Amino acid sequence: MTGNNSVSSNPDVSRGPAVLSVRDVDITYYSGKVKFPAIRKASFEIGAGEAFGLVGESGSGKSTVAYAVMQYLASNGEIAGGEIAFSGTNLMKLSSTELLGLRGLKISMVPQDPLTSLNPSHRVGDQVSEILKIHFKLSSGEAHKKAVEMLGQVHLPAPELTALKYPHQISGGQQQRVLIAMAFCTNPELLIMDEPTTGLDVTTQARILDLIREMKKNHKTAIFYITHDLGVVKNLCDRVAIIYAGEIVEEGNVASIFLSPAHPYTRGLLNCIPKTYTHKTEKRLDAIEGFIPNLAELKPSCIFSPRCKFVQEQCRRQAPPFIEIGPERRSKCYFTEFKEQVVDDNFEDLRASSPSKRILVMVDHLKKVYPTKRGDLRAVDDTSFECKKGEILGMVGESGCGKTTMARCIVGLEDYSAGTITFDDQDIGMVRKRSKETRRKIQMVFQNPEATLNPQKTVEEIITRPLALYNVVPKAKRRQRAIELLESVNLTELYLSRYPHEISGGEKQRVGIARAFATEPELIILDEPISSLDVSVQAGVLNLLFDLQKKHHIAYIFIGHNLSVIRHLCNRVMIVYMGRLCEIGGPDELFEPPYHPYTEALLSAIPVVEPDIDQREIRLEGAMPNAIDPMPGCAFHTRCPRKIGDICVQSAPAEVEVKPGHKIACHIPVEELSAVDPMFKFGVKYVF
Amino acid sequence: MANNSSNQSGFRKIITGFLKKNITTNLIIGGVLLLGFVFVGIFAPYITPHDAEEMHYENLKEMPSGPFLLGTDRFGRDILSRVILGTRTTLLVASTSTLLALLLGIMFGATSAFFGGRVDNIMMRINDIFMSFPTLIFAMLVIGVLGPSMINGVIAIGIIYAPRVTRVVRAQALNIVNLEYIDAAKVGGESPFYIIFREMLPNIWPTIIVEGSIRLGYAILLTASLGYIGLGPPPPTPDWGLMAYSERGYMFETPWPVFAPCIAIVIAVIGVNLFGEGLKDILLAKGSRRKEAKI
Repeated sequence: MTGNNSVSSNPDVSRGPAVLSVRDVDITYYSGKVKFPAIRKASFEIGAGEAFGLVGESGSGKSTVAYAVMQYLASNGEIAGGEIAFSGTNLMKLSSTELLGLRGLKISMVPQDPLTSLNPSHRVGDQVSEILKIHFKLSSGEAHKKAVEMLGQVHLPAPELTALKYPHQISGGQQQRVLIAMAFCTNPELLIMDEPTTGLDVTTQARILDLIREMKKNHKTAIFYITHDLGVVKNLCDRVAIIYAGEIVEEGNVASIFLSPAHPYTRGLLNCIPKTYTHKTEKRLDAIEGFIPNLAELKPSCIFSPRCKFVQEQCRRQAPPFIEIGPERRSKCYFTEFKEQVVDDNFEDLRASSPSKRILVMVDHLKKVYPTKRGDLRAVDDTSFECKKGEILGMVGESGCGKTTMARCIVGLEDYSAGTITFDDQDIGMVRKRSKETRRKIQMVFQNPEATLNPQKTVEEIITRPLALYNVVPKAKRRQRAIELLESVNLTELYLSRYPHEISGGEKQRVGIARAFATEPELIILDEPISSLDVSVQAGVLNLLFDLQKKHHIAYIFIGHNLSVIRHLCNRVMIVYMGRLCEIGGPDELFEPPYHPYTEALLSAIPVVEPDIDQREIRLEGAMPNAIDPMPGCAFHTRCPRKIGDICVQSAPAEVEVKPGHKIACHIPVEELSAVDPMFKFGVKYVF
Repeated sequence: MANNSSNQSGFRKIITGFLKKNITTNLIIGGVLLLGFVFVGIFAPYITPHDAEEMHYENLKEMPSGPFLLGTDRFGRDILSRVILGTRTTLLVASTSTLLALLLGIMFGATSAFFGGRVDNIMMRINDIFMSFPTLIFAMLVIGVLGPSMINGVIAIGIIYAPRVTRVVRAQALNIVNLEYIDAAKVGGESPFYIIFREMLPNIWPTIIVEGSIRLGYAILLTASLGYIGLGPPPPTPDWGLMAYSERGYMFETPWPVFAPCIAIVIAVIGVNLFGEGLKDILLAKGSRRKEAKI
C-alpha cells in the first residue's frame, strides 16, 4: 500500500548496456535564412529496462530530442552533428526502410494527446492488431487475440468488448491505455513517452503512471519519458536530465537530484513548485525571472546566466563545461555550492490575512442541468456554499465535475436551472440582467492564455476598455491608469502598444489579470489561471495573485485541480464531485484526517516532488458515471473505495460538520473517517 | 476609435502578409487582370476607339480589322468599344451587389452565431430556404417584382448571395464565439452589438475579404446571365450578357460579336478567382502542408 512515492532507484545499481545512446547531438531548425540551434551537444544514455526522464519547460527542445531519436524531425529541422545509437546501430545512417522496421517494433512512442493519436474511424482493437499484423505477420484472428490480451494487460475493463469500441466511446484515460497497449504490444526495447499524462486528471494520471511502472517491469523496456512535471519524473524515473533552452544542464539519478539539486536552474524549478506539505506557514514561491533566450542569437556565455540568481563574471564570459559532481551526476555549472538565503527568512503567510465575516457571494442549492435527448445532464447538482468578503475560496475536482459551470453561473455566463446566487444580498442572474454595478464588481480570469485576449486588439485597448465602460477614471487619465495596472502585474508601459501574439503566455495571463482588476471588482473568479503555464512562470503569476489580493483585499474563487497549489493560497477549499460538494474546510483540515474518501483519493494522486514524503496509495477505479442517469445516493458510490453498503446507493449523504467550518458529506461516521492514517508521512528532514 | 483600429489591424494583416513574401503567381496574375478591368471600367468613355452607340452603316458585320479591332455587329457598332463600356456596367453591378451581399451576410451570420440556440436555428432555416432557390429563378422573381433596372439587379444579386456569405461568416464566427475573450467581454458587461462588431468581426475580416473576392466572380457571371435573359440594364446601355444574347442568331455567320463579350466575361471571372485564391493563401494560410516546426 505504501511507498509508490519513495525514491525508486538506487545509485549503486549499475545500469545495463545502453539501449539508446545520444552523443553530442546538435539539432538545427531553419526558418528562411535564420538558423536556430534548437539542441546543442545533447548527450545521455538509457540502459536496458531503465526509465530516463527528460524534464524541461515549453520551448526547451525536449520533444525535438524525442523526434530526433525517432528520426522523425520536422522537415525544416536537421541533426547537424553527433550520433544517436540504438543498441549499437547508428540510427542516422539507416535508410528509411530500415527505420520503418525499427519504429513500432523496437522503438515505440506514446504521444501526448490520446484523442488525436487514435484514428476515430477504426475500432481500438483493430488499431492494436494492425501493428501486430505489420510487424509479426500474424493472421487477423491471432492478431486480434493478442490485441485483446494486450488490452487486458493495460487493465481496460472487459477487453473483448473494449476492443470493439471506437476511440470516442472510451474515456481519455482509457484512450491513453490503448496507446500504451499499442506501444507495448511489440515488446519494444525502447519506449518514448512524450508527456503521456499531461492532458489527464490527477487521479487518472496516478493510475496511468502505475500502469507504466508495471508494464516497464513486466516487459523490461527502457523508457525515455519526456515531461515538464517534476513530480511525475520523481515517481516514475530512475534517472533524469534537466534540459534548458536546448542544453542539458544537469543529469543524474532521481534521488540525488531531488535531494540536492546542483544546477541553479534545477534548484529554481524545484523552488517554483508549491510544496505538498510543510509544517510551517507557507513560503513565498521563488519564480525564475526572465525568459528563455532567443536561440537565433546565441552568446558564448552560460545559457542560463541571464536568469541565474548566482551568476558570476565567469559565467558571462564563457559557458561552463559539464562537470562530474558525483557518481553519475553531471552539472553544467562552475559551482556546486550556492550561498542561498536561509529558507526560514522569507516565510510569509500568503493566504488572505483576515477575511471579513460578511458574506459576499452566497450560492444556495444551485442546480444547472443541460437538457439532452436522453434526459437532463446535471452539471451542478444541488450545491450550496458561500464566499466571504476578502476570502480566497478554492474549488477542486476532476475535469467534468462542474466547477467551471459553477464559476460561469456566478459570473453570469450561464443561466442556472434552480437555486439562488446572491451577491451582496442581491439575487443575481445572467450577466445581461445584472445591474452595471454588479457587473463591475464580479470579474473573471480565464484558463487559456492564448484565447483570453482578442488577437486584434492592443494591450492598451484591452485594458482601457473596462476603464471606459465603467468610467472608472476620466478619459484623460485612462492611459495613465492602464500603465499603473500593467505595473501592478509586473509589466511595463512598453506593453501598451503590443498585440497578444507579440507577448508570451505568462504575460498574456498577466494582462488578463490586469483587465480583471481594472474595474476595481470585489470578486474575481480564477478559472485554472496557471494550469497552462510553465512551472517557472506559474510561480510568478501565483505570487502576483497573492500580492494583488492582499493589496486590494478582494475575494477570489480559485478553481484548480492541483491541491498543492490550492492549499498554498486558499483560506477555504471545497472539493466537488459530479456537481456536488464532498468536503469543504480549511486547507490544513483537508490534508489531515478525517478525509472524505474522494479527498483522500485526490491527495493520494498528487505527484509529490519532495523525496522525503511518503504517501498512501489509493486508486480510483472506473470513470466518472454518467451525469444523466438519476443518482439518488452518493455521487461517489460507484468508485468509492470505502463504500459501506446500500445506504450509499440509496440516499445522498448530508453534510456533517466535523469541526466548525469543516464539513464532509459522507455516510461513514466521522470517528471512522478520522481513524485513518494521515496521507503523508515524513521521512528525512526537509532538505531543499 | 476602436472601430478604426480594428479595420486597421485587418488591413495590417494583409500588409504583413505581403511583407512575408507570400505572394503567389495566382495573386499577381489575378491582381493584374482585376486592376486592368477596374482601370478599363473607370476610364471606359475615354479609351473607347469609337462611340459605342454610333452605327457605322458602311461597316456592318465587319471582321476584326484595323479600325475595328474586334469587328462590328449587325448595326455596324464597334464591338471593342461596346465591350469596354460593358466592363463598366458589369463591374459596377457585380461589385455593388457583392458589397450588399457581404453587408447582409456579415450582419446575419455574426448575429446568428453570437446568439446561437433557437435564434441561430430559425435564422439558419430561413437562410436554407433562400439558398434552395435556383439563383437565376430567384433573380427573375426579384426583378419581376421590382422591375428591371440596374439598381434592382444589384438588389437581386445581393439578396441571392447574402445567404451564402451568411453561412461562411457564421461558420467562422462560431469558431470564435466560444473563445475566452468573447466570454471576457460578456463578463466585462459589453453589449451584444459591441461584441459582434468590435470583438468578433475584426477576427473574421480575412475570411470576409476572401469570401468577397470569390463572390465577386460569381456576381460577374450572374450579372452577365441576367443581361442575357434580358433582365439586366435595359438597352441601349452596353452589357456583356445582352450583347451575347442579341447577336446569338448570327453566331455561325459572324461569331465575333458573341465571342468578344463572352471572352471578356471569362477573363474577368478567371482574374477575380485567381486574385481570390491569392488572397486566401495570404490571409487564411493554414501553414504549409509539410510538417514544419514553428520557430
